[in-house]
Amino acid sequence: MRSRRFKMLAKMLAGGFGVMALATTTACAAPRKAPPAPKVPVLAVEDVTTVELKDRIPPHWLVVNDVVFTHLLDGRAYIVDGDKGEYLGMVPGGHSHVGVQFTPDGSHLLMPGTFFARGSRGERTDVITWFALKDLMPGEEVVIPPKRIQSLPLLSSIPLTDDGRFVLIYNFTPEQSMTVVDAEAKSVVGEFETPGCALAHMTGPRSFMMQCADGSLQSGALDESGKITLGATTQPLFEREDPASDKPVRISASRWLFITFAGAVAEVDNASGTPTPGARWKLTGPGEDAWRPGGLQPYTFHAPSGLLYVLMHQGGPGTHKHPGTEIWVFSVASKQRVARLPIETPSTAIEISKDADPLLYTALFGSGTVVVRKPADASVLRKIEGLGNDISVLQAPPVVPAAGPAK
Amino acid sequence: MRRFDRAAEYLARSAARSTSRRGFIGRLGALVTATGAATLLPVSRVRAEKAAVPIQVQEEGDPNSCDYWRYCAVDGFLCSCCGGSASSCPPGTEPSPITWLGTCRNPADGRNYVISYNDCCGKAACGRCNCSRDEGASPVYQPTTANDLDWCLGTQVGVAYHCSLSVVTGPAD
Repeated sequence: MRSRRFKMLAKMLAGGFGVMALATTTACAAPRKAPPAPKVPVLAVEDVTTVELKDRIPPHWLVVNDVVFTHLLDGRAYIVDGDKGEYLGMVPGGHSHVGVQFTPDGSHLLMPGTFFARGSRGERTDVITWFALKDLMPGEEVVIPPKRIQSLPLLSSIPLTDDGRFVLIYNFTPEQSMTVVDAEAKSVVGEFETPGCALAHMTGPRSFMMQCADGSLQSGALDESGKITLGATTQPLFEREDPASDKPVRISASRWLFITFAGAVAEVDNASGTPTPGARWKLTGPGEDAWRPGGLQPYTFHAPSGLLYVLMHQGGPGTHKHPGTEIWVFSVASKQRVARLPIETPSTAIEISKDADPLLYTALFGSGTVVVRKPADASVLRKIEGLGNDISVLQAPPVVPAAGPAK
Repeated sequence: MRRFDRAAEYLARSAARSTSRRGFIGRLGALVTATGAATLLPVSRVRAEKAAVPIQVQEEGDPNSCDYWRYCAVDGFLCSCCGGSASSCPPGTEPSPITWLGTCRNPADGRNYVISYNDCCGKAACGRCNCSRDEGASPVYQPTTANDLDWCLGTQVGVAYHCSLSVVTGPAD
């Protein structure tokens, strides 16, 4: 059957070329004498090949997530090289794509995805798929309960424990729960109710904090089998009128900065297993109340320098998704702004590479462009364009050792 | 119906947690009350119409424009541009029985109204008239007023999001 189809295709192509040849002859009734072709070696016969990437992800590669808002079924993540400004490849993500998780050794990307049997309808399957960086092919997978939250991308809805052992998936049906997947055994550990609280901000290999509807924080812990036990809850830390964003920033193993829509900062440490509020400060100073953080990924933290980078814009309440027109840089240790950097393109996402000589990245939702910048002054080093429809969040990988076999 | 019951139970628990632990009744109280009204009897509120139900005669503005007053907290594709209206789902889609709420001021009478932002579900995204205004919208951990969520929960057709409604559920004051 295949052979017959091939023959038919060959005949059709031959017919097509025949018509083309006739047209060419007709159009060139009085051909000029062509100059003699230079004498060069005949081209070699080529093989079809597929590109392979590296075993481990370098610190200046970047995962660019595209939620494809106008075609939500077709979310995907692009992998680009920030140093060269090159597009390297793509990983499919399905409906309401969030992002990926990097295995600690940088060899694989974990992709939680949602798919329907008949495109936009039919049986729903939620699945975590392991893609090897080297070939970007789907490998092992774990089917999880079809309850994963469907929302604009929130990386704390799909965290991986620091040691890579467990994946936590936040569910919203609208009942709230957490599915735990054993990433070593490639199996579902179970589903655990988390009433009133959402997301998981990791604070250690087996501990995390959740954000609750009343403005409080809830601690949680996993045992060695992956079972979740909920622990202490704080008093409400934030007012309903100025809630903390659902995109806090991790500044150490156990400490996070929760930043409100208006730019108030609260540091919380969960080292003891009880969320402990620490310093509170503001992004804005006297006369700067019109400025607010905004975007889908408004902040990023660079651990080696201790600097926090924030997309800021001028606007009032309800503008928490507006793009930033400036990048404000803060020393988290001193709680002082150290730079205020206007940018030529408003941006809704900001990320910085995790190495000691970092690249700063920004993107505007809908632009299809990642801008690679120098962190010191936000000057443009290069742009990577044509990256799909709706860039949501950018993900710089962890710094991983270059040597050793990939797991 | 089981899914609807579970959804209503969840929202009741969520509201109880918020109100008992924070004690704010005013604006949120109005929203929570309206949430209950909008979710406890979701099926009876949906009926088939031969044509999209237009806006009410005493209203002003263009429901195909993002500036239209009911859209003060919306984030998504306007069903008015997708074969429906501000309160009617396009053909072949199913309205979400549970949703989130906002409060918008009607310029025609100066009153605040509670608006229910139900999603219409079961087909790929409409892709027309994307509108993001976000006034009073909250993070996803406060779901009753969060607009970053796909609200196609509890539908028979699944969670594929198509477009957003903006339905008047009553005065907020």
